[in-house]
Amino acid sequence: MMDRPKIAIYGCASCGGCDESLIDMADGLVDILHRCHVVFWPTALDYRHRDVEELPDKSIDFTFINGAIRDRQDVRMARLLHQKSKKIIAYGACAQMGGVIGLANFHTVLELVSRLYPEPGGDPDATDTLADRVLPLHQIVVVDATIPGCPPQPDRVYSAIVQLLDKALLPPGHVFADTRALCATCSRRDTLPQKPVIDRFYRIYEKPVDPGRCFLDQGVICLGPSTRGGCNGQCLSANMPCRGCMGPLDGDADGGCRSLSFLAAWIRANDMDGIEAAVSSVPDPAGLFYRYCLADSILPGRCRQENT
Amino acid sequence: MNIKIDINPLTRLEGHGQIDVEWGPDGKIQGVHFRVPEFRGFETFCQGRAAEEMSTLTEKICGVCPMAHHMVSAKALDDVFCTKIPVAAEIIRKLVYHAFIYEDHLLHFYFLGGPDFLISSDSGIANRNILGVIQSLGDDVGRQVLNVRKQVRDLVSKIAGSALYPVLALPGGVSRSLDSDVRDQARKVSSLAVEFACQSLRIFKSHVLAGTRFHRLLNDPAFYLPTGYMGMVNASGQIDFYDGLIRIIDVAGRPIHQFAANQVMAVLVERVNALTRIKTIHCREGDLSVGASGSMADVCRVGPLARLNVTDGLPTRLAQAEYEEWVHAFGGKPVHHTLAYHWARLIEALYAAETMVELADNSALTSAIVHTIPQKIKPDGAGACEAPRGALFHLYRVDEHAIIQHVNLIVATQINAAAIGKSIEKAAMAFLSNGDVTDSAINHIEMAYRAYDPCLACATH
Repeated sequence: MMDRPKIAIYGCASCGGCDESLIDMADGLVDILHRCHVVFWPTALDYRHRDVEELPDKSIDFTFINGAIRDRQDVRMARLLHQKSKKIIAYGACAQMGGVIGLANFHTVLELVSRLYPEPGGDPDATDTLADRVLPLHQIVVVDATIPGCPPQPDRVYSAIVQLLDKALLPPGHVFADTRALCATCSRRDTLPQKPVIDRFYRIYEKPVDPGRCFLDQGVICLGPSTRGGCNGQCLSANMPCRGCMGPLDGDADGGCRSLSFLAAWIRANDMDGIEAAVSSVPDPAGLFYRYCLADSILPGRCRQENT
Repeated sequence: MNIKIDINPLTRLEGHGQIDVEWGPDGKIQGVHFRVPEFRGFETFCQGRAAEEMSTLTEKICGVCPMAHHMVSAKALDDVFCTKIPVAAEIIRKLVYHAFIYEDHLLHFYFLGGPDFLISSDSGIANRNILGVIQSLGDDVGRQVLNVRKQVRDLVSKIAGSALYPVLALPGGVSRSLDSDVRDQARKVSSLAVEFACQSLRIFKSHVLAGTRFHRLLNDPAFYLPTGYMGMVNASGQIDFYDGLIRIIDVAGRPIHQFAANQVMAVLVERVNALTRIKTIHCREGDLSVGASGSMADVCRVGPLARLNVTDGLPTRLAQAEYEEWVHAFGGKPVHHTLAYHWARLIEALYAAETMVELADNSALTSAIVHTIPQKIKPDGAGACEAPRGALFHLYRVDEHAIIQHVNLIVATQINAAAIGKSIEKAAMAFLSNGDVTDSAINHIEMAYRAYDPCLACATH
């Protein structure tokens, strides 16, 4: 067992979905578990923090970290695992770009904590232990590769892990997914509007959605044009639009900004009133376009005054 | 001098937790603390979001039970948008929901809780996991576990987009209709699920219940906790995972409350705790003595044990027979043995599978009408379901544009948290009282919380 590659799996501020994705590899998981020595995976194994602390530095071959950096323990564990590992893999949308947990950056820590503890004296430590902002993993440690998605699809995860174990030559910062947008492989691609056609956007419950036609052609917002492909288009197969969990394409510094500008191109109106009508039909633009990527945006969060 | 150990992190559960045990200078245990340090703030950052996004946003609270949040949220949104969903939409929702309960219960039995009792007690830390379970039960059974779970989750993915991230339910119904191919797949998978649930119960009886170790622990006072219980029941007073009224029984099994989702805060209250970020849930009317006494007086437990204690029997044939055997084994209800959660979980898995068979055969399953376009919005809405771990409530307040103004989430592990803390304390007192901190002693303490299948990320949200 000692000759096998050592791997570790850990979740910072997470939901456990990334662990479920590993378990959903089914036979693939058994295969991986036979090929590696898993030295730390709290969801499935009984090893503790002290077991990691006792490992020699750089003795773990690959560590898969999921979840966002939300509190100081996340920072400490990410740094500890980085110290003990040869390679760090950002696993899932939260590790890659903060994920939905990053939406908390619309609020101050004080606002978050006061919702939890409206009564004074509930938890004096809370404001001290939470980091000021949610951060993606790469802002705390060097990330060697990324498996995107919320959560990543089991077949893609298996393929990524096998490539890593087989010592495939990968460029620094490699992302295990498509380089093209989700739109490029969408079964509705033939009906993607080729010119501005949208007078107003519809909310998903407001009209019947034709499962054979592009969402944008029906006025329903879909982030497929600006989102990396590689998720097997599962939401689309259930007749629901993309919400961007695979993150932006290579070279896009700010996924939300890219989605916003992309979508604006389909608005038909040329006059201010028409544009205003189309824009105001989007109910929560910040929450929609930055749903997964706010913590990794070039915008730090909401403009705010502390102590208010 | 005081001596302290911490078990950190707690393992084979969802989320982050730790247990601290402290001994005084006299060698006696002074304190046992169950701490959950994480916090993400969903109730705050969901404010301002478009209401219809809540069913796919709140499911990110938990990757183990995303379907529970997805469905409860959709039900709260049906309420906000004043819609009655079409019959086919309800059948489709129920089909994926029962499939989800089934595979989640199997996940706990074989991957999370099972390693504590499906393998020999002295196998140590390196084998106490799914691989150890496969080794103990044999490769055939191991592969079947993986295969059945995969087939059930593939069915859910086929219908809901993803079992990991369902996008099916939206206000007024579901996003898609089903064709006869999906029905055929559902029929095939459901029969397989029934068969494997029966096999899992046989495995439980032959490998676990018949063994002296588990039998001893099952009846050990350390794992016995008298409390009240809460669970959802249908119009016949029988267990229902998807819809119905919430019933609370007291420690002696007498019904004391029955209420709809929108009444939950009139019956329950959230309590802030200094040592954990979980707000524990208690009955408002503490003087009713739902529980036995002391700190448990106003505590109800939820989840499989609670649901079987609360229900007037099970609606399906095979599960009803197993339920009767379960009640008989403990000499009647309510059953207060914490480790009986595991057995109850498998009986529920069988009930879920039998219900899947019925739903897959329902002629309305493939109807084309699956969505009602909402016509109006009211300022608040409430939804409830039984998550695998117990009752789950979503309460929303919205403005006239259906933008979320306020969110309150009452989650199963919050409701169980006080009892989990007490179970851990009792186990620590029993197994660590001589000051001998062995791997086996710590494992016994962890068995006290694993029985509940807790979800700590859900509980703090």
